[in-house]
Amino acid sequence: MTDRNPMLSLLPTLVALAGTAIFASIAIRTRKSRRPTEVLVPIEASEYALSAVRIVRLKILIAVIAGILVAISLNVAPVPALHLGLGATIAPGVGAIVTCLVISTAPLPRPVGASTIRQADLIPRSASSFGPTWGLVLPLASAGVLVSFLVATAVLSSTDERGLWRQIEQWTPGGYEDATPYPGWFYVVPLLVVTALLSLFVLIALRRIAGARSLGTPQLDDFDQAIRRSLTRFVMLLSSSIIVLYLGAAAFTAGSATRTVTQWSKPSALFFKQVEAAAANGTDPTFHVKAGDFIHGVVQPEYTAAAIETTLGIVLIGFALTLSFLAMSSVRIRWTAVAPTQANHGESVPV
Amino acid sequence: VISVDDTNPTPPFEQIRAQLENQIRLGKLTNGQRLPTVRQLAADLGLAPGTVARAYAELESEGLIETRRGAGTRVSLQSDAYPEVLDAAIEFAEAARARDLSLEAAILALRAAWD
Repeated sequence: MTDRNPMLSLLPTLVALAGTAIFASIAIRTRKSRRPTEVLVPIEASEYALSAVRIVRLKILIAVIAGILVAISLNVAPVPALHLGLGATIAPGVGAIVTCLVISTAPLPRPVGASTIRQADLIPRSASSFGPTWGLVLPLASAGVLVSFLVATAVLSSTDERGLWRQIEQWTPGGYEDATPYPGWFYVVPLLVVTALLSLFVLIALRRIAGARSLGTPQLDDFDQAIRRSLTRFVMLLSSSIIVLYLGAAAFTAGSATRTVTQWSKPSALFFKQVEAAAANGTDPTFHVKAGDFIHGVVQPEYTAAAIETTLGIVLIGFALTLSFLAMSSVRIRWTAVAPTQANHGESVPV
Repeated sequence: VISVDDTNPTPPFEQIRAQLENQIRLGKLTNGQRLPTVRQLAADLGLAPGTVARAYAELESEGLIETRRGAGTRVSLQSDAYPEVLDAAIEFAEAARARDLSLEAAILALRAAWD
């Protein structure tokens, strides 16, 4: 282990700071877009709309429960002592992948008694058609910040006594200090794989939501789009929350370990004099350690950077939990039953 | 919007092809405008993707649309229909519908005005 460039040691903190600033700016910019707009549904289709909303809610509930069950299973599954902690590391990401998979399944049933004439809009739908602009920016920014942070911490990591890259070492005036767990390559490689897979399955889910068959009647076009927007918003918020959770947990772990290794203590000159005096007198050199026998210190600026990193980790975990809550509460489809003429510019289509 | 009528004896692929051709020639679908993917249109109309693909292939062979890898399917014909004539036709059709005129009766009215 050689001395590191102090700038390199500060890199994870700088990335975490930049990430937090980006997330805060996105959160402030998007505060206004949280309220879904109300859609009009012809009164004869209100029963269908009610059951469709119930189906969407049930689907999301099943998806979330499936994700949580998979995450819990990974947490409690027995793993070799050498790989302890890996299951818990990948659990949230794999759980979110399962949730995305369930969301990608079967589209809504069409209204019963639909006409023999089926209609289709000629406007192409894609993964980015139904989400707000920030909806794509947030997961992409989160993934970018997470990957940068993980690579930065992995570069700073070193091997532990078992040869696994999951600790950090630091040269201090008191000697070498080391601490584990630290997000080194041992944790970072599985995390990068899970992040890449999560991004892929999010894209698949968004494409499936956009590409699912429409409700087949122009009168329900707005309602159909409201459901797609709601599901898209859920997937985007959920995936962002998991990525931000990873970033927060990694920042907290890295900050805690770095704080440990940047604190040092060494025997004072007084301590050595007492040992020498005891040896010269031929007396027992054992004595009680008193205040002042040891001097303590911290390595700066790494110690302060680690404290900031730990704090940012807690803030980011809080932000991730808020995003999860918003994901669950985003499943709101506001609709009102109206006379057919109001629902679709005077055209009446059987539903 | 295009539609497929199950009770219409014309095969579904021909219904799609004819409606798309009409909309392109009338300028409702403009040159370069992107069309939905085969999969999307097939799902929305409740048809097999092959049916929509056949309609697209015929339109492509007529030079009305073109499909490029990565760019999707786009209209490739500049309509020679005058937009103001199309607007007037739409207005005329709406007026005829409002008076419960059949298409045939509306065409007769147009012919009378033409002569």
